[in-house]
Formats: sequence, structure tokens, C-alpha cells
Amino acid sequence: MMTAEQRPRRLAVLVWVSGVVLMLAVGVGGTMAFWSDEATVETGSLAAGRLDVTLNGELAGEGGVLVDTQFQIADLVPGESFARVIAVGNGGTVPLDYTMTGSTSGTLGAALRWTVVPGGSATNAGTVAGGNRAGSCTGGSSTYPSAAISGSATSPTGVIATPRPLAVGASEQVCVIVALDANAASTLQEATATARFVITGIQRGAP
Amino acid sequence: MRRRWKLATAGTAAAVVATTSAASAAWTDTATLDTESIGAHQVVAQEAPTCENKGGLLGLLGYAELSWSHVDPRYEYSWEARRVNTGARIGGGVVTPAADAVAPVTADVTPTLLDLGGLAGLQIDILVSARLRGSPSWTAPATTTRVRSVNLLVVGLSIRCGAG
Repeated sequence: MMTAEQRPRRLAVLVWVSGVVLMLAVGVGGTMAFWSDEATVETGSLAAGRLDVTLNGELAGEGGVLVDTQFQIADLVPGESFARVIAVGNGGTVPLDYTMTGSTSGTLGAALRWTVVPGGSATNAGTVAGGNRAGSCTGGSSTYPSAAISGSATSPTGVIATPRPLAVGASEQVCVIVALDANAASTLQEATATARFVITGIQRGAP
Repeated sequence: MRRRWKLATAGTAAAVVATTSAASAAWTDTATLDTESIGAHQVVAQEAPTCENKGGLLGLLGYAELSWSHVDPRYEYSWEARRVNTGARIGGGVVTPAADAVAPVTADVTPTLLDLGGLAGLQIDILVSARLRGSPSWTAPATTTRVRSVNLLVVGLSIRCGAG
């Protein structure tokens, strides 16, 4: 059994031991700091690509409408035709695939027959006086052989329906022939029409 | 447990949808080309033909010669004869001049070309229409010239210009 003198001494020892333990704990904590370091990497400029369809070397940038002043013919008699090339280009920085639709506007539209030949070059022969003007496409492969196209711009006809590839900086000639049907009705004398072709480019590999 | 499973499923589905939407956006561009006008021809009528009496002398059959200027190298001309009182067609023909013809186009309206029924004194209209060579349905409005059938001495039934 502990005497009255022994109790204060044991208490002091206990306090002293507790203090030592506490100091050790703090000291151990101080020696627990881990080494670390940091390093920084900076990238160069990150820029998005650009998808851009051009026509006859024009319409850089998004969208646009080109009026081809060379694509016109007057005084057609039934059976006559005219050929013209549209140069479809990739003016962007990413490869693309393109398709083309067509539509007409005007009374004569229903009697016009269109031929579309990607990769073809255009030739025109004959004379007005001879009533024998004839447009033709040399080379290429026809995707739309001598048929009417839609009379509605909101529901155009696909004249190049299967997408065709264009690498960056590349262009492809699309030869287009317009003919007045040989059996066009006499009521179409002096009638006129215009046509609209819409070329849509989509990034290569898109679903 | 069941509630946690439902929440996990919904979360997964949302993640799949979000991932799919982000991956399907594709860049596109459209470019449009408009043509200028594409126009059809209009057949132009010749002027009303002039008429000159021919033959009828020295035993030669009397006939009417109609003539007019060649309007367009792409044209030919059809003519038809109609009795004025009945409108009945009694004859006709096609005149195809050389494409680059400079000289006037002529049509000889002779009694042998017409069904006169042996009758003199008939009033006859000659209608001439220009039309496209390769597309004869494309015509211009007709011009009309009046001739008549007459009995000429010695010669017999003949055609003369005018109404008489």
C-alpha cells in the first residue's frame, strides 16, 4: 500500500513521463515532412482546324453564294445544250468529303435536262445560226445522267449523292451540262429558268 | 440496395448520352452557286408575204407567187390554203430555204396544189407560218394573204392574187 509521501512522487514521475512522451510525439511529427518538388510544362498554341468549301476559287469562309455570270445561255432551241465547269475546292485545313444538290427556278426548268460529271472538262460546239449548239463533258464519270432536277430549292435533287473526297488545298472540276429537251413543248418559247447548286462539305470520317 | 442500383444505372446512362452527343458533332460548310438565265428561243413571224401573179399567158398555168424575207437560218415555213367561206383546208406545203438564204423565200400557189373542186371565183386565204426546222411544233403566228381562183381564157382554172 502507497504511503502519503510516495503519492506525490509517483504523480510527479507520471507527469514527467507524460511530458517526455508528448515532446517525442511533436518531435517525430516534425521529422515526418516529405520531400516534394514541382515542375511546369507549357504547350505551344492550340488552334482548331477550319473546314471550308470554295467554288471557282471564291467563297472563302463559311457559307456564301456565288453567281456564275458565265453559266448562262439564251435562245435555246429544243435539243441544244451548254456545258460549264464548277471548280469545287477545299480551302480549309482539314480534309473533307462533299456532295452536291441542284434545283431550278422558272418556267423552263421542267424542260431542262442536266448531266453532272465530276472530274470532267467542258466543251461547247455549234452555232446559234445552226441551231446545233452542243455542250459536252470530257473525262470524269457521270453521277447524274441527263435528267430533270427538282423545281424546289427546299427539296433539291442530289446530283452528287455519294460523298467525294477533297484533300486540303485540292479542288475538283465538276462538269455540268444543261440541255433543252428535244421534245420541249412549243408553249415554252421564250421561257427562262435559273439553277442553283449547293455543295456541302463535311469533315472526313464524320458519320 | 435497390435504390442505389437505380441511381447507378441512371448515372451511367447519363454519362453514355453525354459522351455520345459530344462525339457526333461534325464540321460542315456549304457553298452555293447560282447560274444566270437559261432561256428558250421564240419563233419570230415573217412579215406578210407579197403576192405576184405569174403565168396565165401563152398557155401557161396561172398561179400566185408569194414571197417574204427569210427571218432566221433555223427556220422553214409551212403554208396552207383555206376556203374563206367555209374555213376548209384545201391545200398546203412546206418551204425549206437554204439556211443562209439571202434571197426572199417564195411559195408558188398553183391550182394543181389546191382542191378547188373545179370552181372558179373561190376566195382563198394562204396562211404562212415560220417554224423551227428540227422542231416543227415550234411555230410563229401565221400571216394571211388572200388569193382567188379564176378561169382564164385558154388556160383555164388559175390562181390570182387578191380578192378580186
